[in-house]
This record gives sequence, structure tokens and C-alpha cells, in this order.
Amino acid sequence: MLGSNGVQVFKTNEGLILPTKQSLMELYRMLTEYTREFANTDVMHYGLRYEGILTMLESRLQGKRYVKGPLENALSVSEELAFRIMCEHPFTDGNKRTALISAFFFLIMNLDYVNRNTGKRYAFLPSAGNFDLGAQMERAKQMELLAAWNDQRRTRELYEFLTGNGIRVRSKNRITEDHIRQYLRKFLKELVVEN
Amino acid sequence: MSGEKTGKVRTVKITVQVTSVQISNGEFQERVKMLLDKNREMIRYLAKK
Repeated sequence: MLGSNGVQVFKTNEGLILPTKQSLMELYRMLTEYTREFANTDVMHYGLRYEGILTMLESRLQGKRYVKGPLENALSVSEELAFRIMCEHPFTDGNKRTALISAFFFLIMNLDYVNRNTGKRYAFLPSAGNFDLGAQMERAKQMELLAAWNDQRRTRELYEFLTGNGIRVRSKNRITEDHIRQYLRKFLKELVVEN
Repeated sequence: MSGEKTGKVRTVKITVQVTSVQISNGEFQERVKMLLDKNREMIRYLAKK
């Protein structure tokens, strides 16, 4: 999947980096290889389930209006990645992992753009070495719970979790895409800290 | 009302212009590998589910 000239991404005039299908597939390939080290899973099972989802994701990200502040724009790209990959399952396996890692990766890639355009110095905890075992496990469990929304599972637990974290949801039967997105954004924003 | 006000609603479509850029294979792999190493336990947890 690696191109002879490198991995292609898109860049807006302001410098915001957007993923391409190629970059997401390369991330997935590397993550799959990495997982092979410790998971007792059949790597042959991994692959692309439906390429159209990544094509749509790529064009959806290009079609967005990035008119908010730099940090909000960067979070918006990563939220879209996390939500779409987690819920639409472009890959045969490992979608939650790929959703998180690709959201993290493009947030890191966009920190230069954020810092340049805000004059601040933001860092991303999962890449700054301050993401300890407890924090990693907590985020992994949260991701698992959020992903259950798509299959209408664990609705009471999810409802209590969302409301407990300040997301206003009327009842456990009324959890919407917007609620999940709100939490994903909060989740990602908490990992970006100003130095 | 005295007089009439007329106005036109103008719709401005904002399109995002993007250019394609390449990240070298080495830089891409190095950045991804570093991220994976720093989030190893999170990946391990999700992989075993």
C-alpha cells in the first residue's frame, strides 16, 4: 500500500491535514501487523470490508467547512474519523482500534497547524508519553462502550455514562449520533493540553 | 409600514481547497510506530475483545 513517493494526504490552504483512503489503509495495515505481536488472532482475517466507506469518508472530510478555530477544526477531522470507522466498519476486523489510532494520528499531524495558527503550544497526551496504563485502559473501555451504540447494546450503561459525563440525553432509548459525537469530541479534546 | 425595504439574499458557498501532499514512507511509518508503542496497552485490550 505504500506509494513509491510516500503516503498521500490532503492539505487545506490553511494547513489542516486530511486523511486519504491510502493513508488510512496504510495505518490499518501497520496496526494489523502490530496487533499480530500479541493478539491470538488470524491476521489473514484482516482486510477491507467495503472500500466505498473510506472513499465516502475521504470526500466527506474534504466537503466539510473548516470555519471554526484551528483546534476545533483539527478535532472535527479526528471526530469524523473516529465516528465513521467505529460505526461504519470499513474493515473486516479491528475497527475500534483503527478508529482510535487514526483519530489520534491525524490529531497529532494537525498539531503543527493548530500551534502555528493559535500561537500556542499544544501537546497530545497519547504521543507525549503521559498516557499511562490506567489512562489507556480507561479510553479503550470507553471506546468499546461507545461502539456498542451502533448495535443498540448496553444502552442503559451508555446512557448513564454519557449523562454522567455531561452529555444531555433524554432517555436510554434516545441516544443519537450527535450524543456519541459530542462525547468523542470531548474525549479527544481532553487529550490535547496546552504547555 | 412606511416605505419598503428590499433586499437580496446572497448565498456564499465556501469550498475547501485542498492540495495533495506526500509524507515520506519513512516519516509516516516512524510516526505511526511511535504512536502504536505509546498506546500499546489500549490496542492490546481492544484486540483481545
